[in-house]
This record gives sequence, structure tokens and C-alpha cells, in this order.
Amino acid sequence: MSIHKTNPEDYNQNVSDVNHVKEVFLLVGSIFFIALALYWSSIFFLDSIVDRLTPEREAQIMGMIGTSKIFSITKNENAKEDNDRLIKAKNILDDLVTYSDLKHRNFTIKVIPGKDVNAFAVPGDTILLVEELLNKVETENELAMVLGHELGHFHFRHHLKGMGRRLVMGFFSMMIFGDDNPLSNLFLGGLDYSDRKYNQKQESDCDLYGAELVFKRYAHLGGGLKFFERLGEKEGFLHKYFSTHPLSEDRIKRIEKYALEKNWPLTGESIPLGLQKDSAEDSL
Amino acid sequence: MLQIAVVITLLIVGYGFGTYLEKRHYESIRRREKKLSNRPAINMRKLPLEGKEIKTSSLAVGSTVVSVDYFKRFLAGLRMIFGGRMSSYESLLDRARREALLRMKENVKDADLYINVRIETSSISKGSNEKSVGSIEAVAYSTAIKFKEAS
Repeated sequence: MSIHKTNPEDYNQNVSDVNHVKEVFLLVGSIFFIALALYWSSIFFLDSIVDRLTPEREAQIMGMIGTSKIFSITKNENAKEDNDRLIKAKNILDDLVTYSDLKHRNFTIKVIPGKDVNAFAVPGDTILLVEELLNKVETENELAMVLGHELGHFHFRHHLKGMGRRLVMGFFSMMIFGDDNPLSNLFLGGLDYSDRKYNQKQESDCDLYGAELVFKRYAHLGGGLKFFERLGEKEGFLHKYFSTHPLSEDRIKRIEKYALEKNWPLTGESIPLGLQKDSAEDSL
Repeated sequence: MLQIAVVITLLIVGYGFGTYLEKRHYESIRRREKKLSNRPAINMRKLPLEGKEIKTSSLAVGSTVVSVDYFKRFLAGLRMIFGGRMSSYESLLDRARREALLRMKENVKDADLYINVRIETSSISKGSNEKSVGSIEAVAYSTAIKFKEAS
């Protein structure tokens, strides 16, 4: 018996000759396709449930969850609740609520410090106004448009839908990748990006809802859109406000188009914010 | 977005360094395999050669630990979802086995033949956390035989 010595060759049958980069793109693409399909079907299902919730059930759910645990921002100790502007804003809000389908709800406004022109509708019937927004609004009509927009989020229950989306996202991420996996970050980032269009539609719906409340309260939309016009002019400075919002120019066009369809006047007297408190009381 | 950027950066770095190091390792493996090819290693338990007298026999052991790069681990993570051939780990195991065999031969340098060769592999820090998977140890051991010079 003899031993045949074999010389090693460059060819290696134990290692597949595949393009790994191509494989990664193929697999990541497949994952995103499947995940998006699952995600959107879950969102559709969740949204249809949220739309069918009675106000009592909604209050019950929010009570169970305990909103302060989720939105620590509402606990901000710098919130200036006794500010004059806050009282004025609250008066405008209360006025608008009487024209809405949210009359049974007791809304709270809080002012939070910050340099962004922004406002949030958060669970617990609370609207957070960033201080800079109050510095930028000039008339009651402008502030009413912003507050009407935020009431739109409560009307369409976007806060509940948003929470549902995040729960679904977290669930899928955990199920597919487990906790603390780099793939999970990619997955969540991708879904966040895909949400942008959806958010923009939500914002547009709220714009129209807010415009309707403003019309019902003031009988015209005059002055209300000027705030958006100013935001549009300073898009760079106020970019963050619009990160999930449509372009201000598009928002104005959509509101104007809707107003024309409804025969709502686009011009009318604007009420300076300084006189807002008195005029609001007069109107009541 | 920042998280995505971090992952993509790690993937690029992992792919770049991983490919370079693997290429270099394979070059080293091929060069040494060629050099040691006149000293065969076989897995038979008994000496297959007749008419040869054994001068010395000793245990030869070689072991190595090899890890995959971030890119390959990422690809393996994707494969674990869909199944199929985990090609990104094939080269990891191949390199480890061949390196262990080479070290085994280098362990007893003047042997003529290595019989009863066994190769074992084990993953390092095998645990519940899937991050620990990706490094393996390969151990190769055999009986190194030196024949008496033919008179």
C-alpha cells in the first residue's frame, strides 16, 4: 500500500463561491418586503380597531396604560402653566372644542421650553405647546389653526394609533431578531422611514379638521393660514417642525382647495393675540 | 437614522477588514500546505505502510481560534431567518480546520507521517446570547510517526 500525496490547489470545494454582498442585499430586501407587508396589515387591523373604540373605552385604555409613564415630557418641571399666554391659548382651545365632536373631553394645555416651533397631542387629552411656537404666532386665528390641528389628532385618535404602531414595530422586531440585535435597528429605522408618508397624510387630515373648527368658530379662515406661510418662508429654520409634516406650501394649498369646495371664506379679520383673552370672553 | 448609519459603517468596516484578513490567511494556509505536503496526514488508526520501521512516535496537536467579521455574522443572521446554505461561515470553518491541521504538523516537525488524525471544532462562549456565536476553535491531533532510515 502506498500513500498518494496530493498538492493543495486553489480550488476549495468546502467554501461556496458566492457573492456575499449580493446575498446580503437579496436577503435584506426580502426581509423588508415581508416585514413591511406584515407591518402594514397589522397597522390596518389596529387602526380599524382604534376607529371603532368608544370614547369611554379609549379613556379606560389610557387610564390603564398610565400616560405619564410613556410621555415623560408631560412631567417637565419647567412647564409654565400659569403663563398668561397659556390662559389665552386655553380659552381659544375651549372655544374650538365647543364646535368639535370632542365636547365631552377636558383638554389641558402645557407649555414646554424649547426652540422648535412645534406642538404635540399626547395621550391624556393634553396638548403640549413649545414655547417658541407661542413666540411666533401673531394672531388668535393662527393659534386657533394650530390648536385645531392638534384637536384633529385627538379626533382621529392618532396618539392611540401611534402607540399601536410602536407596539407592533417592537413586537415584530423582538420576534424576528430578538433583543439587542443590529438587524433590529435597521428594521426599526426602515419602518420609521416608511411611516413618513403615513404621518404626512395624518397631518393633512388634521389640517382640514383644524380648518373646519376655525371656520365654525370665526366664520372664515382669514389669517389662520398666515402662520403656515411664515413657516414656509423659513423652512430651513423650522425644518424640524416639518420633519414628519407635508411642506407648508402643500398644506396651505390643500386647506385652500378644501375651503373652496366648502365655500369657506379665505379672508376675514384677524384678531391680534394680545386682545385674545377679552375677545374670547366676549364670544362666550 | 443614526442607528442605521452605525450598522452600515460596521458592515463596511467588517467587510473590508474581514475580506483582507481572510485573503491573507488563505495565502498563508496555501503556502504552508504546499510546504508540508510531503508529510501526509491520514485518519487510519494503523500504519498503512509495510516494511517500514518506526523510529519514534509522538502525539501531535494543533489548535486555532478563528472569528468571523461583522459583515459575515450579519449575513449569517439573515440566513438564520430564511435557512439555506450558510456560506459566510463556510470559510470560517474551512480556515480553522486547515490552520489546525497545519499547526498539528508544525507541532512535530520532523515526522514522516501523521496517522489517526482527528479534527474537532467547538464554538467559543457558547451561550444564550447569539452574539457569542461567530468564533470557533478547531483542534487537530494525531500520532506523528518518524521512520527509521533505510539502511
